Amino acid sequence: MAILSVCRGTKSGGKALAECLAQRLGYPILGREVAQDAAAQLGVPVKDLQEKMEEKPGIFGRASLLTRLYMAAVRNALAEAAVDGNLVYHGVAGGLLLKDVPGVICVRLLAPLDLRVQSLLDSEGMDRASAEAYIRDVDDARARWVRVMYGEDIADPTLYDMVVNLEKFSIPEVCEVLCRTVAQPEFVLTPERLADLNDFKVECRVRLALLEDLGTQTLELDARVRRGIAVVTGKAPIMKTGEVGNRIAEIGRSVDGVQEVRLDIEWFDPYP
Amino acid sequence: MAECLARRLGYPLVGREVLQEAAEKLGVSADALQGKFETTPGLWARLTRDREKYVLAVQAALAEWCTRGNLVYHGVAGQFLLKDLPGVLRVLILAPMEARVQSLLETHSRLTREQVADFIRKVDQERSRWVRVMYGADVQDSSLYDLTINLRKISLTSACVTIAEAAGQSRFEITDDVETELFAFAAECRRRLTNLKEG
Repeated sequence: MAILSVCRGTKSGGKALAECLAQRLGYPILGREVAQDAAAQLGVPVKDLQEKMEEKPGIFGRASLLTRLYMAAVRNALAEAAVDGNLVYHGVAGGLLLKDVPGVICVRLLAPLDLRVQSLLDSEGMDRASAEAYIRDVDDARARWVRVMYGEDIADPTLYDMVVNLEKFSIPEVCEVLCRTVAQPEFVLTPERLADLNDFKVECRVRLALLEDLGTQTLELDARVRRGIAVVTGKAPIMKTGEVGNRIAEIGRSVDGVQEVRLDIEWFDPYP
Repeated sequence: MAECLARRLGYPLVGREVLQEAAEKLGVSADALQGKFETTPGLWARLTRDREKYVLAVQAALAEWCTRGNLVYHGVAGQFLLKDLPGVLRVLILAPMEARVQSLLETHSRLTREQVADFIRKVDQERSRWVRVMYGADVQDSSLYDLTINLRKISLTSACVTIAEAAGQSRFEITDDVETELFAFAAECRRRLTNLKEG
């Protein structure tokens, strides 16, 4: 009856929680393999996509065009998987990719450093100092990545619907608590919620299409879709021929599920 | 939320009673004591650690309540006063600004939306400063709590059900061992308060 998105630091038990939830609720589960779907859609090797997504931001603290394109593809693949309304997601940036989608519960797990280090010691046979350094490095990189891609602080609790501190809870206990939350009335799958999820799917397709097109990919554009009507916002250069506006509208209309495209663009003169 | 939890779990609800008991022990009014938790101490108060006595008095009163069994506490600084104690579930509730403004407008209809929003922001800032000065922590740091629930998508009732489910897990049961620790904690708080008052 809901989509659950589990966010966590490395070795915090997120995968185990996702598996428990999927099993208890009978929902499909999606993790890092979302990158495979995204890579297939773009026709690039999955390794390239994963490397680019983990790439450190450039000197100006901006994500490269390719990184943004790959993330849009990941979000698109996730939206396709979520369209039926039941899903447990534990892949990259779940809390942020699905933040504003209705009916999605974004849960962040906080695990004490000792527990995470122990998990690495058990699985990788590292020494304690290396394990601690590795976790700190990954945490820092992730926090930086979220700041660059989304302008958000990964530790900000307002980004999530729930934050669970594993100092006092075990994974099976968190799983039980969340199953109870999901059963609450606001997470019942209604026709309206399904329509919202379909809007989100179409919206992700439009965003991806705008980033794939050579004529629009360098522009700062965004798209919102509500019941088949796509509204594209952002900044674009004004041309006498109106070619940019026409191109944006054409891309929007070519997306499956879009019935109408409206432009809410801030036009600027490229040759002032 | 606290009322809903107390009803659902059948636990007593404790808030201002703790402040009143602590105030009586210190010979000050409950309002004056509450003020110590709402305003950031000045430089002199920080140097003389004047606030410590007030915080400890509230902690001691709360600790006494904890020795009587299950309870829902919705008073000041619960995340710090009951830190590291077994059987305690510390919860932070977050709500979107708009919902908080609306809720306050319903009980204070003579105020404008802007006045209410300003008031909430001011209280938040003061609380945040207080926690930073007194405990060197960020009041919104999720690691200070066992559970943080954001009411942007989850209703108050559903959050209440969720917290009750969490509180119902066996690790939060007041077993004999937990009870022993709670009594020891209350005795320690009493001892420290006596020392501070005498010293």
